[in-house]
Amino acid sequence: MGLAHSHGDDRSSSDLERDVLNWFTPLPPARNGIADYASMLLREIARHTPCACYCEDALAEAPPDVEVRDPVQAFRHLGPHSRILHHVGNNRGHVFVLNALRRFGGVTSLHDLSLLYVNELDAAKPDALFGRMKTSSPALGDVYARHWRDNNFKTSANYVLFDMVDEILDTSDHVIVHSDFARKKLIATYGAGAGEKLTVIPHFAKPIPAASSRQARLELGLDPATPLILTSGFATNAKRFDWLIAAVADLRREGRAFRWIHAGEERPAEYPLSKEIQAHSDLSEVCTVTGYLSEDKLDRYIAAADIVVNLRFPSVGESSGTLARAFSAGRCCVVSDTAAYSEIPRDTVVHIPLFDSSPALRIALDALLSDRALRETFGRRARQYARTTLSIESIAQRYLAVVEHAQRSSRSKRQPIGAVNALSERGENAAPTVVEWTVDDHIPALSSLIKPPAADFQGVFWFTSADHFAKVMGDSPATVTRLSSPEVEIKAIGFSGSMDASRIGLRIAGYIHR
Amino acid sequence: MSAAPSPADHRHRGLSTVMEEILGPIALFDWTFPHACSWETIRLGASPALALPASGDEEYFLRRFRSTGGHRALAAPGLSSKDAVQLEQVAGEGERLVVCVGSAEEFPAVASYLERRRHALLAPTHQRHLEKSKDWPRLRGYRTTRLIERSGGPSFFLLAPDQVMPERGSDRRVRSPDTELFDGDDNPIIVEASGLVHDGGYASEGDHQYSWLWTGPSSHFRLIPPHPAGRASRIELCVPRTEDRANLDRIAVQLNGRPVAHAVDRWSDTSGKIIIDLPESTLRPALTLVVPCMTADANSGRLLGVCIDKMIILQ
Repeated sequence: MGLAHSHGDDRSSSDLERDVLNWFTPLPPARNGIADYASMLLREIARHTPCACYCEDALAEAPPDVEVRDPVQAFRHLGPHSRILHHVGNNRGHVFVLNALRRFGGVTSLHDLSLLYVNELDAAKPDALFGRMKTSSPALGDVYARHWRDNNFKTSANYVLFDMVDEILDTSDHVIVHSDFARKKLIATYGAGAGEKLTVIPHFAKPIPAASSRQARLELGLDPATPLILTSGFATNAKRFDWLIAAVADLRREGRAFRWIHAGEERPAEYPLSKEIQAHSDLSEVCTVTGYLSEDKLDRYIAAADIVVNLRFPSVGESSGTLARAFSAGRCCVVSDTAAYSEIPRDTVVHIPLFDSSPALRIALDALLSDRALRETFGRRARQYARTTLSIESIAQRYLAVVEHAQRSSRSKRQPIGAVNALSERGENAAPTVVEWTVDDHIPALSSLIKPPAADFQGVFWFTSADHFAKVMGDSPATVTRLSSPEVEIKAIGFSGSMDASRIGLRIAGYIHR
Repeated sequence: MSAAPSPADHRHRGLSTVMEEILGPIALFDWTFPHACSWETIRLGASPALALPASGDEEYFLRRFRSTGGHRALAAPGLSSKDAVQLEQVAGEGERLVVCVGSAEEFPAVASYLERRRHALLAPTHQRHLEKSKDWPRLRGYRTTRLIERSGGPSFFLLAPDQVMPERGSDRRVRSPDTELFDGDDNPIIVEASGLVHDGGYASEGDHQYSWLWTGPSSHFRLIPPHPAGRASRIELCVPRTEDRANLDRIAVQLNGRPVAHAVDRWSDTSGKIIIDLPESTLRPALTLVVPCMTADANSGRLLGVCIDKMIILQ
């Protein structure tokens, strides 16, 4: 028997190894959106440069010619000049990626802006977790880590207060984020030094097979003539079905003909979508919730749709796979004007403001439902956007450019960024206006607290507890409006604790225009 | 070396036999694991104690492994008093501890410790060193013996405390006071399940006559075969049973964490032999079996992959 060796020794092929771009990421069949994303991107990048993928599942579905390797033995193959790309997300499948980043450094594609949960899952090192909480937020970490460690006491506030991204910035040669919103948020939290390591590369739009609306509707048994509004994914609070229901209920009362299909699962404990729809008797007959769909089926619904609605509030900077597919399919999309969605070109999608959203949504949908040409105009531009800026070929080239740049930079020059107090880093000459406010049920408008003229400012809003902070911030979109009205330019944001650790301060620094 | 006894006079005396004639019952500690001489120690006995590297990535990686089929942790035999406890526990009652080092050059690192403890030491050597007594390693209070493979195979120096030597039997077949001949073991070398070094969750089962082990609960099963640098070898892993035929159809094998070609010589739907060729240049090899279908055992609830009862090494 003659067995051909595909590989075997490590050191003797070091020259070849140096050219390899080493990925640390989960891959399909892992049920993980990042795994799907990485798989498609890997397939494209492997066309341009040799790649290997370190993945916990050695039987993972890698593209042809891409070796799947054991991350536990990566030390045998990686050296100081290796090209490395990590895909870091906030779930169990990324614990090994985080550990590899700590060990080997490299470029990181950061898919979540809060990484406490994945740090928590790295349960082998709880003391390290508590230590990193202190680093992530020096003002609060000590107290919260002690509560957690000594009393096993933690709340959802922990996941807001400690994003743990400082470690990613410290250990990575460069960090790719997927929206300018994410970049600005990290700079606001960790200071201008973080910005030097950040590059924005949006998520690509996956090409989907061209299918006509007529054909898709035929396959799905849908009326070819009735305009179709589509929503998708898990029905969560943040997708603001309350706004959509109010808008379409109005349209229905006005006699507008349409069909609304939610192509995705419900999470009744979080938002009882079906129940809310049924509460409007005139809506229930035109609305359908499909439950979980395969990707193929979802693509068919997108092809059948006239309008794809994808709202978010609050947003943590996420992007939507459905939205990207809808762009590829050339569908007219309606999104919230917030976070990463605000960065989509204005002539490509319809943006709905966060203020008075439901009436604005009603007006927009009314116009779109009654004007096929308008829908098709947005659809054409969306498709063009998907085929150019968001094409996988273009995104892959941008990734490669970042990796090349990082490789050229000397790793020895890497400087820890740490959890800097971004507020103290600002070097404006004039003394800023300082405001302080103890929050009751709501936050007053920043602009009302700072008298003219235009000035730099530093504000601290005190909350009685983390729960209090979460309640005020989460209950009303108006909170965001008050803090970020058009005249307010926020430069840094962070948390601090009172001297006796009994209160939490939301610290904001910026410039107010008059 | 000078002429061996005639075939008519010859009875097989392996290296371990000769050493036990000199030292009495022995226990082995392979100081060089996983770098160099595990091949030799596996020839000497199925279950040598193995040493971890002092530090670094490899040490961290190897901490997951256990020897003797999974029953014994690897030791960290530094020469501090704390680490020495592990070393002292290797030898059982009445056994003489033999520390195996990779070469005579490693003597100085362990000499003073061995002298204090009166342990024996075994080191492979080059032919040229065997000829010149000035090149022989020496320890104060120790006697150096050349152990020479009869057909020209790898040879050794054995350093044993002086007081041990007079106790040797009077019927020894000694070529000279400082030389013993031994017979090399035949190909192939067979390592029973109870002798495997692996990181699986389950230790070997059975008795001293027949042993087996199941991979699991992780789908990844890593093992370290005895395989010195500079020699190519073929490894055959015997799988007498698995619950799912897909485990032989779709099993993946990695060498040092990278995919490596393998073949399956099937005996039945659920049994067979996994065959892997290890290239010559591989250092410190670690083989990984990735088992696609783990099955919950109805009786124990354990997640089981494939059952392995022996590893056969051919050169």
